[in-house]
Amino acid sequence: MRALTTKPSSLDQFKSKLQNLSYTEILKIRQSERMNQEDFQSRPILELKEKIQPEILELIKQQRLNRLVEGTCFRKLNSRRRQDKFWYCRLSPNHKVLHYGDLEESPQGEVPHDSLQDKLPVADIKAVVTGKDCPHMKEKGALKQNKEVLELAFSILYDSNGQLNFIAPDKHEYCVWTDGLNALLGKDMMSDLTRNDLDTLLSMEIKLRLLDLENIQIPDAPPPIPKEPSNYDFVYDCN
Amino acid sequence: MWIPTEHEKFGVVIASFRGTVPHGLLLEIGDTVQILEKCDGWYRGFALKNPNIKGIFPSNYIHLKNACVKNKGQFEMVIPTEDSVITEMTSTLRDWGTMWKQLYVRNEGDLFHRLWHIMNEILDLRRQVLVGHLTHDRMKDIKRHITARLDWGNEQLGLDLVPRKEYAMVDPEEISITELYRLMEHRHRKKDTPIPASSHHLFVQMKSLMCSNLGEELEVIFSLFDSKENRPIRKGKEGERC
Repeated sequence: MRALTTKPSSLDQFKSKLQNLSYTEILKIRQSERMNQEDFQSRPILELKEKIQPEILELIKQQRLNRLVEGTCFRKLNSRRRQDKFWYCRLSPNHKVLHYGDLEESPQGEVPHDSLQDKLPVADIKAVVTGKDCPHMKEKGALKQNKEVLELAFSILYDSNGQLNFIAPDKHEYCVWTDGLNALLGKDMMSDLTRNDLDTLLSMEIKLRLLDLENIQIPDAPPPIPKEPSNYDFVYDCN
Repeated sequence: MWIPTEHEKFGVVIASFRGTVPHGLLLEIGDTVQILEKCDGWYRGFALKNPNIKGIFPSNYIHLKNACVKNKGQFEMVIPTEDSVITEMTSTLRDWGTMWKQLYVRNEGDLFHRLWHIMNEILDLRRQVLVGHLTHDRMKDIKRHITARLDWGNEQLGLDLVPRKEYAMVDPEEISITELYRLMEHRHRKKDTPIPASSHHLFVQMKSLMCSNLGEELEVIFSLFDSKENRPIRKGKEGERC
């Protein structure tokens, strides 16, 4: 049938097409069709996705906060281009305080929060800004106009005038920290990483839920609910 | 009149039901249900993931599947009729799903990604088995792939090893202890020691020899011929030549 759809112009062509479609070929074609079939665009499935989404977002939030509790080593921008200095920032296990402090050198493992000198209560945080809006990005200076640095910069604004400026080591950490800080402030997590994680987790969850519906046609709209039964005298009158 | 169902025992929900009637049971699309009784286009039963809560739901919201019933009556159990490999894959994937999400939250990115790949592979293999129309050889091939992946995942997650006989999970009620032991030992030994070499004894007796050259010396040689290499075995201990 597949050979026919390509409308061969002669019997010879038809024969050679059929020969190419050996059993293994057909299997491969069917497999790629199966992979593409998973569009999951029908209405009931979209509704299911919407229903599960909050649970998954909660998982992502937990993961981000766990990462913040582990902490990250950041670099300080030095306009005079001398040796880069390191500093470490981590969230307390009860999510109430951010501990941070300078480090002599890049740490090998986890840095305990007692060794970090400064702290910032989460309750004092007013806002989190990124990129061009960061105070340390607004200063003039050749280093600070670097586009890559701009994409990794974020700052915490707290109290009346306090600011804590960060340059993330890479895009991944940038996403983890901005998501985590937004989550602490009760806001939505907006990074690309969240979008990807949500997609991965959500689509696997849907696949697992629909395992028993393989090969079964799902109606687009809910079927009509029949009239209520005439009585409720059940046979098995149990719990 | 509510009557117990005879053949409609097991099914899957094809549309979510909000339970908007008295005694209604809340059902989500994809849930599997066990049906106890029916009346006027309604079933009464429970979702397998929550067997303690019973309620009614419309019969047109359920796609029925074949199953056999054990222990008929109020406490009956339903076993769907499908290849045991399918059942094993379904329950294993769901168990893994829960642990996989925990791997994500605890930031174990490496195992998280590898498991994700394996789960997708198993999902595809499962689909191939369900679609059907597979030759005997192909089916065996697929089952081999499936069990390899299931075992890998179970091992990585620290779950129990599943004893298998010809790619199907062994029925604990049908197999004897010694057979089970031998199965597991064979599986372990496959990886560690090679199969010990077997030795044979060959007794060759020469009964008589006719020779026309009297007085001259004669030498009679026996040797083992190696048919794989097409020549007599030369290396070896003294005892091979006589």
